[in-house]
Amino acid sequence: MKLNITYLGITLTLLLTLVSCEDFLEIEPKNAISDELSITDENSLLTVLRGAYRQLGAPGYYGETYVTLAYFAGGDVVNNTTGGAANLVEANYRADDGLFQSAWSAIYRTINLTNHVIAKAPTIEDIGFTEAERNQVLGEAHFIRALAYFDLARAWGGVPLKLTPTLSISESIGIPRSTLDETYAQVLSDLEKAESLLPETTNRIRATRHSARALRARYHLYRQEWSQAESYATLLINNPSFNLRKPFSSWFANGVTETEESIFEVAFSALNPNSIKNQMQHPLNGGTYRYAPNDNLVSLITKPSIGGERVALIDSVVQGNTKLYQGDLYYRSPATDPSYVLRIAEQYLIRAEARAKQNTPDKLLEAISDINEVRDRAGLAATEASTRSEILLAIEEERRFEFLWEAHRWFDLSRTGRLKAVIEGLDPQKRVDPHEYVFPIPNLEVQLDGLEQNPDY
Amino acid sequence: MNKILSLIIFLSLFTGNAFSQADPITGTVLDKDGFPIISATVEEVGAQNYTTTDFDGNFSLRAKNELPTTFKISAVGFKTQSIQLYEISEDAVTIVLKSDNLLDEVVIIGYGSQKKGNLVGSVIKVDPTDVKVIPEGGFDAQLQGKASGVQINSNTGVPGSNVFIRVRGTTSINASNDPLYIVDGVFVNSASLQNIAQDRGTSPLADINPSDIESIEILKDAAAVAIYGSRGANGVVIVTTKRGDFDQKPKIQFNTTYGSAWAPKDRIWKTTTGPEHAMLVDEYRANQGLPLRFTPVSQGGRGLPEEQPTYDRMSLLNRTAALKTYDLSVSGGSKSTRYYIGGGYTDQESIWRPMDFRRGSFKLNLDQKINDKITIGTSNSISRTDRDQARPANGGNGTLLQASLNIPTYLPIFLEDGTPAKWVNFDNIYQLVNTVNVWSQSSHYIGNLYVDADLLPGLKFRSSWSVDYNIYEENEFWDNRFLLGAAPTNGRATTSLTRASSWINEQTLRYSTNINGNHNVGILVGNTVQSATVSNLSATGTNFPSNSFSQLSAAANQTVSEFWTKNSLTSFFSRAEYDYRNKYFLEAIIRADGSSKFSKQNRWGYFPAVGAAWKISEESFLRNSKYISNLKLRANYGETGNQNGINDFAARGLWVPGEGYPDASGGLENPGIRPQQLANPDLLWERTSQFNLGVDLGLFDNRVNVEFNVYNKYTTDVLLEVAVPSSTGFSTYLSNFGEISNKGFELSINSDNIVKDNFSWSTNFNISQNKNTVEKIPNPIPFGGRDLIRVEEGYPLYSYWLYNQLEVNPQTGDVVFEDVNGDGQITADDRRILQSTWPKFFGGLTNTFKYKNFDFNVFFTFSYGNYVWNHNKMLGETGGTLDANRVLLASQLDRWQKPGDITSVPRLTSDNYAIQQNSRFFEDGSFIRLRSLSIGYRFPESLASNLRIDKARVYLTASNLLLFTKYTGADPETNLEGNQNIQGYDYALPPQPRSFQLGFDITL
Repeated sequence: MKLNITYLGITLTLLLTLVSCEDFLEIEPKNAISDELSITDENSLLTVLRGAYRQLGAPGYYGETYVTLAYFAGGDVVNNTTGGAANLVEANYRADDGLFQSAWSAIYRTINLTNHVIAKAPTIEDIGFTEAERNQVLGEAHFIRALAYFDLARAWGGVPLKLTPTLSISESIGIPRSTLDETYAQVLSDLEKAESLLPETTNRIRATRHSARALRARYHLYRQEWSQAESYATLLINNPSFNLRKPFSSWFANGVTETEESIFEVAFSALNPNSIKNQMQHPLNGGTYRYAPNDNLVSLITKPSIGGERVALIDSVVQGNTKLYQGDLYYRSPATDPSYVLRIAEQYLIRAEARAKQNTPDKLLEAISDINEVRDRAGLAATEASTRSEILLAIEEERRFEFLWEAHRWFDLSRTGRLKAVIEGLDPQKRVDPHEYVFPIPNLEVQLDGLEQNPDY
Repeated sequence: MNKILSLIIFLSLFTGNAFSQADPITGTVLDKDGFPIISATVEEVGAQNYTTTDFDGNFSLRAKNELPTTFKISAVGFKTQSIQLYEISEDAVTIVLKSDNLLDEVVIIGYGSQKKGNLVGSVIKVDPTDVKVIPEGGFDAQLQGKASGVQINSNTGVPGSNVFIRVRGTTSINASNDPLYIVDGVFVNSASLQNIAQDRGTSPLADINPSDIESIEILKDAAAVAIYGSRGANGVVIVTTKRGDFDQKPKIQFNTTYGSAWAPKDRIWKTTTGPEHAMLVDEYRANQGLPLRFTPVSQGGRGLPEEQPTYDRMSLLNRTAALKTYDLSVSGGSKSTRYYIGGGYTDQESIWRPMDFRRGSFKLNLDQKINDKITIGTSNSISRTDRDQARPANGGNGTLLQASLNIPTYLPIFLEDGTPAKWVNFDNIYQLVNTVNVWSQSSHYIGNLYVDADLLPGLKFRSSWSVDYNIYEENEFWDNRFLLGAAPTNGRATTSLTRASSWINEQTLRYSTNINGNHNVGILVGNTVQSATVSNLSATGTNFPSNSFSQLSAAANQTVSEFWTKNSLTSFFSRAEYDYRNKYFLEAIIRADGSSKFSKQNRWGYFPAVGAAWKISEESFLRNSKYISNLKLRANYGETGNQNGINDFAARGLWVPGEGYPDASGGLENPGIRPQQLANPDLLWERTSQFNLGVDLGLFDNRVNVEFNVYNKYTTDVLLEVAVPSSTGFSTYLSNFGEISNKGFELSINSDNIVKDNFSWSTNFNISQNKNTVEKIPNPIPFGGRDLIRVEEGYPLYSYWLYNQLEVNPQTGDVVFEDVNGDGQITADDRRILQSTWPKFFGGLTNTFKYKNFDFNVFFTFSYGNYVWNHNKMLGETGGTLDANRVLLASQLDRWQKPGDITSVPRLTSDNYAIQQNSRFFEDGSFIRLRSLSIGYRFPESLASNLRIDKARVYLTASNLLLFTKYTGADPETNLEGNQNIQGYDYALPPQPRSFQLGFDITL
């Protein structure tokens, strides 16, 4: 009797486990969704587009690293930590420096998201999804992709052009570097599409026709297409939505966002904070203080005749008996500081430079007037520069302080060919070699994909 | 359950006065198989009163002493046993003696047991008694040096931390390399559940009280592990806990230890003094042409170097830690029931304030015979482990070592007004060590329920259900005195609740028979179904009203996150065993595993193994050998799979949320998603094939036993996060790519050097080697900050990718690196893999002496040829470039100063200290460690019995008394946690403590 019960038990148990076997091995994730569910309708398309913006603000990109590359290597920063910014500060750019890798990867992750949107948006058929909405989504994606390739080009030169979403590895590897001209051509093509597709509304945290035009002004400046740079900058300067507001700090201090200064800024939140603040601020202000403005920069920016109201870009704390300076553009807690991508002040300085480069007496005067607009806003007297070369130097110096903690300084010095003279002039111990006008391709990318390294790295 | 190794004493109830002391005690002495032991000696202790057993194992002896009295039963080839007699009964006493022959010892193998002498596979049995007092928290860490072929590294010096354990090397890069732990049939999770401060991994195995453990078996080769299929790829550790005995009167055991532990003085980092630091910083600045910092205060400087004070932060961090353990158990049984009830409490402070490990545990094992065919039983372990934690390092703010070691010593700990000073971006050590900011609590249930049924003669059925349920709760609260909670954050708190639950159901059917006395045949078939779920709910709050509020509800800003994952596995397995006259052995195993982690077409993996053994000593030409008492050859080959440790949804393309961005002005975010991983429907099982050749040799009546194994493991289809070009939008992609080999040998020698009545000396020595090589990999893969660690074809895992410092030029003082490609520049192309973190060989040596009532045990572990990355030194030799931002270690004083100086520490300039991936910091970590030394005294039985005590022993154990090593860091065995592909990375962890403990065991 007992044995019979046992046999029955065995049979039942074995049956139960065998029957449900395959079902038992099917488990769906809860924290994520599968590829095929990612973009299916208007709503999910918008969700992926937001993902692209968030990626634009990732810690490797405008959330920190890409922005810091510009000023770490700009001659005005001292490194406070082991590793960190040390090699960039010392003008010793190394292919195995992790900062290059994180920036490079973050930018391409952004591009992949825009590729998803650009590929899928034309195919979405959803009741209530109008052509205007479709155009706007596409326009925003084209703008972000233009910005991403522009940022790659000015840092590394020509890069692999990946223009389709990555769905499998085999079809996505082995893309060689395009030339610098090809890369910029892609930027222009995306910008043209963005400009035509985007509405002429004002939204300072999303791409609009204005942001496309502002980036285009910068694009032409980098391409040395002076009259186009001038005319695009003028479009922005003449737009009443964008103004140089006084005092200088009114575009960033006291927790403000989306001021009239801003053409396009990346927004952050408590859930998705900006990473720059943490390393910029001293611990007494809730940061880790990995780097600081160096003594020379501090002595200049604190002089009223040089720094003017831009002294608000730095702050200091007293620890022990020592006064320690730190950057102060990113300071909020939680770190919701925007990352400033396109500002109206830059459009003035783009136009000033474009005009000076055109080198007619009228244009030089107009350039001086543009510089003075920016200087006046910073609480500074009119510039004394008058000759073309003086004006260009004045613009360089203006940009140095105006964009102290934004993605400009090193790119400006590299673009104008002034890197060696400026960096070595600031610190004779430093050495800038001819090949150091572009950054090295991260060595992992070279090894993995056979990318051609920039010369002499 | 049919082969229980234990002493069974059957005493019937005292039946009034019918029997007096004048009546003889009668009984039978049997071996464990029920055969009589002839000529066993039965001796009444302290009475010069003895007899021997007859041909049927029977004896009869009249007690001389007053009751209670103690009898000692001894026989050649068996362990001596004592029994205590309180009453004299008319029923005969049955005494079963344990064999003392290692080869007759029964070891647990997968789904069964086997005489050690008949094993085809390689299985090590470890008696945990010797090591259970080593203050490590978990039994896994205590096993170090005890088993050949098993490399154990307890990582941190903090009790209850994660343990690095590798059985015969490392086979995988992205899948798990940890062995499978089975506790009383329960597959127990060994991966850390730590969510906050993940560099502080904790071991769930530390929730198990080592005192409840009866034996530990480690299954190593293919024949031994194949029955566990994909779960056994990295070896299997089977833990059997104590059970009662049938027909045993209650046995009460109590043991307690007290002790203390501290960091060995000579192993604590040596820093520069204040004046030395100042001198070095200014020397650097002078070399660079920078203005000096340590100029007179009157000139606006910080004061001259010699005026600088020196503050000792390390003494605030280090302490003499208290260690306490109490264990109490009761075991026994009736004819049909047996039980073991155990309770334990242990409290181990870390040698670094304020870390602490406390565990309370409860154990209940129960077996009930329903009738003579069916037995049911259960094993239950419930424990609660509390840890006071800290962030030792590598976690930004709030880390202990940064707040102590990394701050230049001339900077004061307190400001003049007495407020604790913070320097650089580090917290104040005084505040850190006096507040518990991070703590966790593990509530852990491990339970099993089984039914055994004898269906027919030789045919046995077992079904069992097991559960491993662990709730791991973590908290941190940083008030505004700490950087993490300082204004403007105004206090930061996190509560994280992780629930890991797994269950497994198994059925096995076993048949064994003997055919005409010569052929032994055994067949096992079975199936298992298992599933594991991990979920986490975590909430963080900032902006608290004041330091008095620490609950999340008080926080003005709150965020929450949730995580869930699950996998399941279905398996079928079978094993056939055959032996001919106990001389030739054959074994074949097959297992099929179906895993939820792979797509339908790749779901099932089939893993076979075959093995054979030949007992040469049973052949006629050796049977009468004077010296060789056992000689056996073993060979086996098999394949196992691996899918542990990879993401449960690894084969799918996944998009994740949490990427919100606002649509319109105002900053309110709407949801956003991004791709997280690429789909790989072709993902399949990682496979390891293993060939093992072994020799077992017994000499001089098996007084010397030698076991030698050579093995060759080869892993293909390695589950690998292959780095992919970033232009894809991804960094890595999980695929089956790459091949890894592990080749090695293991030798262990057990020798009873001297066996006399009053004195014995035995030695256990083991030594192992494992040569690990990455045979094939698409591209080198970097790991860790600064790309220090690299997986590269032709090199072992955990290789370090460095610039090779050749010398410091004696004339210029500049560092000279090897220009590998000879292009005249030192670029990333000049980095290469140097040395190896793998020991050339490692092992342990135990000597045990017994003299009368004293016992003495000395246990050394050693490792030779392994290199260690001295990260603390790298951070402490920055050449003065970081001024007041980092400490300078005393070794910085050896810098080059003038032409002719011969040193490895270059002149103080920023160029000389720009490259941190410098081979100078990669040091020989070979060591010999006196892991433990203990001396014990057993109270004489006469004394004990007068006190109505069965046994009593007092002992003193010391651990880590000696360490011989050239390594200049704190401890060559420390390793940063958090990534299984990083080994030999010494960063900010305490050295292994030196400890003394006094213990007392008593059995009633």
